[in-house]
Amino acid sequence: MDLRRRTCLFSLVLTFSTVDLFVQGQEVAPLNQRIDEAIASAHVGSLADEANDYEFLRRVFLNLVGRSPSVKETRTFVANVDPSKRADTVDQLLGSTEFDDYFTDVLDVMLMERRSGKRIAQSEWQSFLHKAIQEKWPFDQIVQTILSADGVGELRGAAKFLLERDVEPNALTRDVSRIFLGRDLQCAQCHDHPNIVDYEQAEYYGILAFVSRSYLFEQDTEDKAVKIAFVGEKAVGETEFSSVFSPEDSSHMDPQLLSGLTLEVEPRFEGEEAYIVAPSKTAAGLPKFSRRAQLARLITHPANEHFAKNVVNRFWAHMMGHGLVDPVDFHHGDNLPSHPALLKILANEFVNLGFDSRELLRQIALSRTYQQSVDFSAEVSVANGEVDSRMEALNSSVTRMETDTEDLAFEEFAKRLELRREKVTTVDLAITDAAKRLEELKQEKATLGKAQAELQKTQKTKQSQLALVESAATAAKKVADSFPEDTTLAEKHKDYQQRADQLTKELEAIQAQLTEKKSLAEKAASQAESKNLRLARLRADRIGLADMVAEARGAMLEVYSRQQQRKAQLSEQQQQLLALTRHKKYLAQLQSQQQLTNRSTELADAFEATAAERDTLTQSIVNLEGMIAAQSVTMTTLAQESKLAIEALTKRQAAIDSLKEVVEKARSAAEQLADPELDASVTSLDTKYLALNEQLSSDKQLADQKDKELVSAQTTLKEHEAERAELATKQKPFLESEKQLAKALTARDKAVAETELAHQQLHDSWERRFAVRALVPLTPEQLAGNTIIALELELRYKLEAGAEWQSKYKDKKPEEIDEEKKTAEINDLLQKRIDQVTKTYISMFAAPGGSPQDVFSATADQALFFANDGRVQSWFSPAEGSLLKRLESIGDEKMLAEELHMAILSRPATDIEKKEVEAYLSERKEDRSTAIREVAWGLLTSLEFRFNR
Amino acid sequence: MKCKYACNSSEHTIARRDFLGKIAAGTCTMAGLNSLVHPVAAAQIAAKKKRVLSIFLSGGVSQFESFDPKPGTLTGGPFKAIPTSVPGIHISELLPKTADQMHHLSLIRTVNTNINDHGLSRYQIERGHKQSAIADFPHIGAIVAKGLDEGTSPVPGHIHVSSSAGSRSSNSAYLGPKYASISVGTNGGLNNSELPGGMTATINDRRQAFRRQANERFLQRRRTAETDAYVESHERAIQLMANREIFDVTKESQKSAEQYGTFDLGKQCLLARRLLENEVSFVQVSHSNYDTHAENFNFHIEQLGEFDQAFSALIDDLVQRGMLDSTLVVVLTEFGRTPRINNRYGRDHWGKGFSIALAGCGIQPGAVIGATNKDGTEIADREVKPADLFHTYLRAIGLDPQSEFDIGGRSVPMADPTGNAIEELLA
Repeated sequence: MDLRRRTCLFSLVLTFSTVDLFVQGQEVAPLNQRIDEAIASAHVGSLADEANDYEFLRRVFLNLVGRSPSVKETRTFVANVDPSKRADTVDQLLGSTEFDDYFTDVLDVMLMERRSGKRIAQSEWQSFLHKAIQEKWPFDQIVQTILSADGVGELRGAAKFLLERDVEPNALTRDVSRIFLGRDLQCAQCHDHPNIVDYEQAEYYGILAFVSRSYLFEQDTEDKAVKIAFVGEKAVGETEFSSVFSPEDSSHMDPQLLSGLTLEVEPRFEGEEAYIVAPSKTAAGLPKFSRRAQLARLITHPANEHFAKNVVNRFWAHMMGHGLVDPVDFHHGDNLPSHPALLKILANEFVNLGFDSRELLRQIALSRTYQQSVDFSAEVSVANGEVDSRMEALNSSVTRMETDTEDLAFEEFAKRLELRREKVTTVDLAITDAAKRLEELKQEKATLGKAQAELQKTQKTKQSQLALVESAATAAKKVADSFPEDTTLAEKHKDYQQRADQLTKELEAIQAQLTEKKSLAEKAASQAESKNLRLARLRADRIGLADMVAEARGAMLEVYSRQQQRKAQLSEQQQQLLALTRHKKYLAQLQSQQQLTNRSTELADAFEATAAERDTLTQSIVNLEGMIAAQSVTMTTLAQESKLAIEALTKRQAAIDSLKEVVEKARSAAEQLADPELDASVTSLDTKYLALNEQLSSDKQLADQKDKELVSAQTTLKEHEAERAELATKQKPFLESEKQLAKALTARDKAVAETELAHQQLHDSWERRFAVRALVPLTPEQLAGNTIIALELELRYKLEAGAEWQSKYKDKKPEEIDEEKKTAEINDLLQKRIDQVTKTYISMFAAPGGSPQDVFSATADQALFFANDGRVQSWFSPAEGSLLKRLESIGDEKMLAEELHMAILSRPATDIEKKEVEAYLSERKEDRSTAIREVAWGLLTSLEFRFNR
Repeated sequence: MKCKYACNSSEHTIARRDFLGKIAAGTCTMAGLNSLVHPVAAAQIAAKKKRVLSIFLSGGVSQFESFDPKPGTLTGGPFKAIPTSVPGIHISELLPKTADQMHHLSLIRTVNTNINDHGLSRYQIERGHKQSAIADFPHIGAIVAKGLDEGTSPVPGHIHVSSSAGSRSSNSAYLGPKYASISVGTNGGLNNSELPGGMTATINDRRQAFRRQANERFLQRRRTAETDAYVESHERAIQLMANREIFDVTKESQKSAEQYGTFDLGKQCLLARRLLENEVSFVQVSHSNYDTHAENFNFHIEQLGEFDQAFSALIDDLVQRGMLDSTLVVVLTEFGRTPRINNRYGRDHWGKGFSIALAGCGIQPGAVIGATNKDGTEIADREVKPADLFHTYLRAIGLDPQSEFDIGGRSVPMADPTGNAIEELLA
């Protein structure tokens, strides 16, 4: 492990602050049991039952190898009576090559979030991940390799994480904190707590300082369009940041992690000395001291609890459907873990396990929590009283914690740290000043020394010149004295003498200058000495101050950590309270539903008891109403008849009256004319008159009779009506209770709906508390793996691949065929077909690249794809080797239904389901094959297939 | 607990199932699909719901030959400026029909992306942010679709029209696949909206009934927001299949087809109008290609000739149908073209100061925002950044660009918080 050796060359001071180191040698329960204890102790109410074998097997296959079990695997598992079969299966899966393949995809999606990018081929990156998983690298080693990668050598693939983010420091800071620490620091800047903002901002820039010296280096190749990318790093470059609240103050930022891990001693080199390979136009920089390599080491250090917590949380979310912190990259003050204690246990254990991902997954898979059912039973779980008492306790605890003053303490500690940091800054300034002055003094001394040396050199020259001149003067004097008359000789001597005098004067001046310079130099030396002393004092002060800063930071981090713990605890209790509130509401709702149901049942019963009476009454009323109706008809007829009779009577009377007048007139005429013929006609008229009168009296009788009948009928009707009114009075209470019953039923229905809502909310809430298994939508890879297994496409594709190979090499003679090569080529052809299914699902179901992949969305075009797309149609074609082909050959519809459910949903069909399939197929005897495809399609597009349950 | 999402129940007491309730009601009544309803009713619905149409002139249309002519200058090129229906506003003579619609339009002449790279500049115009490795941002269409989605209509909220049917893109970033653009073609309409060969509607009904039956049983065990969403997606798909005519431009009248133009852009604009009428929140039409490094003038005569006909017909049609008041129309391009005319009679890339046009949805008509200098080489007044445009669009359609989306527990701002809406356009 070259990397580890390299980073160990430098001394690092790690500030252990908040990490609980595990206790050596102490007996503790296995992690899976501790998981269950943590879940159970944080929950009020019953936990869901254990999932049955079918559900467990499908679940664990999906989570560990990305596909459902085959029909054969399911049958074998269910038939197995060994009590340790679940644990054995988990071990088998974790040890399989399928696990290596699947977790390559899982890690790829986790780390790259389906980002596009061509700097490192997907296959090269995947083969790095695959190697790391296959060789069982501890997770910290994988991350270290990724973060310290530079794109050189056999692990070049590991550089994809950095290179596809353009080695851009802000991109790296965001994704390193999000993906490896579970914290989205971009959002931390929007936090409304100024101190926390500054602190989290410091965390952001603390990480940035680790990566800000790294850069993207692209090397030209012979092909101008192709460049090879590497990660380069410089040995210089500091990070400054300023708060949005005070943009004028910018702070220098040293590399540091929130947990307090920091580079205390950073070796300093001069210029080119700092590099193994200096950055240039043709080479990526490789410093002797790489801050990025330090980040790789520190971020994965056991003392950095955020790393372990983030990783276990991501694996937990992978297995359970949602994280203890959810979303997994959003661990911050407003989104704290649901089970802080469990998160801590998992993180510590993960460290103790040496970051062994398989063992972590194994322990999670073995927990009862993982193995529980999606079915929920809140009704029988707990008495109302327990909910109440727990709520009361939580309420008072929450109130107590909410009024805690730790926030203020944190501010004080942060201020204290700031003050100490300022002092260090002051001392640093003084040191810089003093060092600068010392440098100046040294310069001065050097200048003086140089001048002195120059002067001494001149002095020496002049002294030797003087000696020469003096000896020449003495000799000249002797010569001149020997020739007293020769003036030229005397002149010569005088010249020498003058020259000697001049030199002596010059030497005196030089001596004076030398003395001055010497004294100046001595002064500078003494000043330098004092500066040196001051500098040493300042440096000593700084060491003390640095300790004080470290102490203040430690103290602040401790408060911060306590505060975080308290916040986490508060948040957990609030979440528990919410769950309890919902529980209480549900129980109340359930009770109210029960009461309303009882009431409606009582009313219904009472109402039912009066049925006979009501029936008689209703019958009487019906009868009476019949009679009233008949009577009314009679009356109408009678009234009509009476009216006609009276009309006839009136008419008759009028006839009589006019006849009478005629008779009178005829009589009077007969009397006056005395004509017998007239008399006879009068008599005849009289007779007629009498006859008419008689008829009139008969008419009168008839009219009277009709009138009487009418009156009598009216009386009867009134009697009937009175009787009916009496019955109506009798009926009134019945109608009233009927109304009440209807009202009670409405109230009950409303309560049922509300209880359903409360139940669902409680279910959601318990799901968040891991008291019941969540439904988890399948990822695109799981959908693909599941489809291939469900529709038995692997065998079909294998046959097709073989056929394709055959047709490609049909001219080859048997002896020319290299069997090994043939198998490999057929396998490639098979893999291509399988990859195509995965690619299809990714293109339809994955979230856009570069954004979180754990957000579920269901779109109409996905459903249209299922309904009509040619690729989906082809999966259902009854080709040789496929499920559809196999089903066609099963004659018995019930057996067919059983195989269909086992293949697609990994469980047997229920009787109802068998009947439904039978009914579906029985209507389509003439195109049975198509009908089988339709029912298979119906199950593959059903909710049960779409979700991991 | 009986599942009641089918049509036989009117009770939807659970709030988060509301959308399902609406969609379930839709299965019976086809609410929300207006292609077959009376024009007046359509107009009423149209007046209520807001939507956006983007016409993207790909490659970078020349501002000199379109909305910011500089005739008679060294940079101005050979074309004249002509008066428009708004006194005082002149545009290029290549856009005579658009000039007649000017009283419905507004111009911004000073958009600045400060980038001359097609991809990077287009990213800013379409996404309202600079492209970076830090985070990807959603297309404006995804934001509009998410912001306006009421959950009542089965049609996708974000559609890009092209000549042939295609699949979903991935331009919605963190907003997820639901808001990524679906490609709808003037040929082929909506992908996968037709039953596979050999399957009749009756058989489809049967298999769907079988699927629903299996789902109902499963829902008695567990029902969540996610199961609801999955169930709903299939119901929406069924409705889309039943109403695939919405996506079929050949169902438009011959007269309309001739007005818009029988070339690609004309057909696409007509299909866009048809989609907007049917409650699609955002439609984008693209017109290629304006990247005229050579023969700039000839190409612009040709390209803008098509644009002028299709665009003016579209604006006229939206006005006639009473839709312009509720439809924001934007004519976009990734950047403009250089003032300098190169030796191949071309103009090159120009990100610092180019023009776009807007109309409808309360945008002040007949306004001109910003001005370039005499020969178009610099912004003289009122620079506009892509983020400002985003704030303006969102305000126009009644969304608050300062608000945040909640994406699975993560909150993200709707628009770049550094942008400011162009208030004078919203007055």
